[in-house]
Amino acid sequence: MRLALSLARNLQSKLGASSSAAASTSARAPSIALCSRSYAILSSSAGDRSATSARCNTRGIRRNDNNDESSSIGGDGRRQRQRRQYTTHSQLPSEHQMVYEMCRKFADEELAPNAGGWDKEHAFPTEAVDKLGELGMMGINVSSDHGGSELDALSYAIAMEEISRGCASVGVIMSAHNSLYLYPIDAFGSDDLKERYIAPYAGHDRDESGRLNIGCFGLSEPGNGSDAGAASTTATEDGDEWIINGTKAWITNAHESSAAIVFATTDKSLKHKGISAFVVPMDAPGFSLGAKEDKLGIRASSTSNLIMDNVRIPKSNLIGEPGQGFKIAMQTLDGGRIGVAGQALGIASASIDCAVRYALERNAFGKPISQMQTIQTKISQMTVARDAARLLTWRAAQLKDNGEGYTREAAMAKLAASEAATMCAHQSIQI
Amino acid sequence: MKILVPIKRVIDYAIKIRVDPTKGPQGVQLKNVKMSMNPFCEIAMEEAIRLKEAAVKAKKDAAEVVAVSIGPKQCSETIRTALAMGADRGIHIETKADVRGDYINLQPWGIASLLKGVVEKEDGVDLVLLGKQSIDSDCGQTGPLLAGLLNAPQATFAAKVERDDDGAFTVERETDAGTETIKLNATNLPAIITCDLRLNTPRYPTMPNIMKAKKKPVQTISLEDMVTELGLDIDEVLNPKNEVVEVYEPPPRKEGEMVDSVEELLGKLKEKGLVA
Repeated sequence: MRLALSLARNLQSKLGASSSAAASTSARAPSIALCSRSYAILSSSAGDRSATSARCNTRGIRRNDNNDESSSIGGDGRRQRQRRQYTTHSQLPSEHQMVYEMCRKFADEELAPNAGGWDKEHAFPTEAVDKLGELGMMGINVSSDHGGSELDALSYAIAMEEISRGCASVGVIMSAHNSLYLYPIDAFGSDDLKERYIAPYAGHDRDESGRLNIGCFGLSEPGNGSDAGAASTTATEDGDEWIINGTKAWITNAHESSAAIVFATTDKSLKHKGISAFVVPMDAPGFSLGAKEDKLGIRASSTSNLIMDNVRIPKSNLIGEPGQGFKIAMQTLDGGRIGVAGQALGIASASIDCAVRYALERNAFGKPISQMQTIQTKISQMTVARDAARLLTWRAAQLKDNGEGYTREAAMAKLAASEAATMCAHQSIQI
Repeated sequence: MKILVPIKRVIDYAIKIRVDPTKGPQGVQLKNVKMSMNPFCEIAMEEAIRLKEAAVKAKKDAAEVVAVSIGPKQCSETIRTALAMGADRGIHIETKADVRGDYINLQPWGIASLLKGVVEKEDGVDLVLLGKQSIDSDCGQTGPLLAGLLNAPQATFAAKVERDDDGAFTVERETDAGTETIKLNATNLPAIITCDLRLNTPRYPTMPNIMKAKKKPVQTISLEDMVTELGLDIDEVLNPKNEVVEVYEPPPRKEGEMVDSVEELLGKLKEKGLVA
C-alpha cells in the first residue's frame, strides 16, 4: 500500500509540474485523468483501494472507457457521485421496493407451487410466462416508447432474484429474453429493427396462437462456446439479402422463440473482428430446430440447436455495423451476467428458505434440529454466501446504471452467486 | 362515478405476531415488522377498479377511484400500492408516529367519523368500498358505523357487487344461513359496501402501472389539520371508546392423543364429558 502511495505521489508531482504550466483547464483534466488511471493500476496491483480512495476522495476508481472525463471528474480530481449506492432492501427507493414486492408475491403464488411439476414434466410454463409479460417483466429495461417497463439494471437484478426464487426455469426464460435478445437490438439496432423486433417482443403482444413473442440468442456453436471468436456460422451477401448457414448449439428458449439473434462470420480473414450480429425470424425457410436437450435441471426451459440452411434475411436485419458482432456479443453477455447472478441468488435464497423451514420443524433427539450447532453453522454460512453474492450483484448493477464500466464486477457477481447457489443447494439437502 | 376506498396498513398476514408481555395492552410488536395493505382492503380496492373498468368499457361514465388511508408516514407506501393497482388518486391523513392503529389509539368510531368528513368533503361519492374487517383488530365496525353516521344504505360481507343501469348497487352477501341479495338504491347514495374474501382475487400491480403510480397525486394532510378542517373534536377521534385490558398470545396447542379404535375414541370423549 505504501509503495502504491509513493509511486502515485511521484507520478502526480511529475504531472503536476507540467500541468501547472498549462493555462487551460482542458489540459489539466487529461493529466488528472491519467493520474486517476495510474492510481487505478497501482492500487489494483497493490490490492488495496483505501489509500487511493483517501487521496482521490472517491468511492471507487472510475475506469475511463470513453473520453468523457470532464463531466465526471471535477477540476480537483474528485469524482462527482451520481447516485446513492443501495446495499440492503430497506434502503431501496419505493419503485424498487414495489418491484421486489410484486415479483416476490408473484413467485410465491404462481411459480413456487408449480415449479416442481414443470421440472418433472419438462414442460414450458406458458401461462406463467404470459403473466410475466403482463406484469411487464419481459421488456423490463426497454423504453416505454416500445412498450417496455423502462426500469434500471438494479430493478432487473432484484426482479430476477425474486422470480428465480419461485422457479429458476422461469428466471432463465426471463433472463435470456431480456438480457440476451432485447438488449443487443436495443443498444445497437436501427430504429427500424427496434420497431420490428423489440416493440412486439416487450411482453404485451401475442402471436396468432395467443402466445407471448419470445426471442433467443444464438452465439454458441457445437464447436465453440467460450472461444466465441471462432464462429463457423457464415453470412454471405447476395444482392439485398444475407444468406446464413450454420448451426448454433445450447440455445435457451429455442422452441418457444420466433426470432433469434445470430452471430455469423462475414469476413473470415478478420477473425473475431469479422463477426456480425443479425436478427433472424425463425419462420424463415431453411430454419429448423434441433431436438430438446434432456437436462438435469432448469428443465422447464427448452435448450436446443438452431439449424440454418441457406436462410435468407433482408440486409436491414444486420445489427450495428459489419464486424461489430464480437463487441456486441461481449457487451450483451456483461449485462446478461447480472441477470444470471440474480437467478443464482434466487436459487440460493430458495434453498436457504427451504432449509430453515425444515430445520424449525424437524425434530431429532428431542428437539428441533435448528437448535443444533452444526445446522446453525451451515445456515449461517449459506446466508453469508448469499448476502455477499447479492452485494456483488447489486454493485455490478448499480455501476451499469451509473454508466460506468462493470465487466469485471459483473463477472465477479456471477461467479460468487453461482458458487453460493450450488453451495446453498447442497447444504440445504444436507440439512 | 366516484368510488372511495379506505385502506388500512396492517401487519402482513404471513408474519407471526409477537407479543411483548412487559408492554401490557400495547404488547403487540409493531417495530421492524413487515406491514402491508389489509387483505380485505386489497379486495375492496380490486372491486373498485373492476367497477371503474366496467363503467369505462360500457362508456356509461367517467369513473374515479380514490384511496384514503389514515396512519403514519409509511402509509404513503400503501397508497402507492393502491395507485399501482389502478386507483386514480390518494388521500393520506397522517398521524404521528406513536399513534397506534391496531385498536389502541385509533378505533372504528374515530376512523368512521373522519371518513364521514372525507365523504362529505369529496362531494358526489357514489360508493364507499371497505374491507369487511382488518386483520389486526378484527372489529368489522368501520363500514357499518360509517353508514350509520352518513345515514346511508349498507351491505356487508359482499361476495358479488354489480352496478345497475339506474346507478343502484346490487349486492350478494354471505351470511351463515346462506346468500342474500340486496339492492342499494341510487336515491340514497353513497352506498357503503364491505367486502368479503370470495368477492375477487386482487391483481398484481404491473410494472407499467407502478411507473404510472409515481405521477398520480396524493394529498397528505395531518390528522390534526383534517380534524380542524372537518370541524370535528380531536378527542372524539383519538380517545378510544373501548379500552384494551390485556393482550396475550394464545396458549400453545397441546399435542393430541393417538387412539387405536373408534371404541377407544368414544371412551375418551365420554371420559372428558364431551359425549353423553
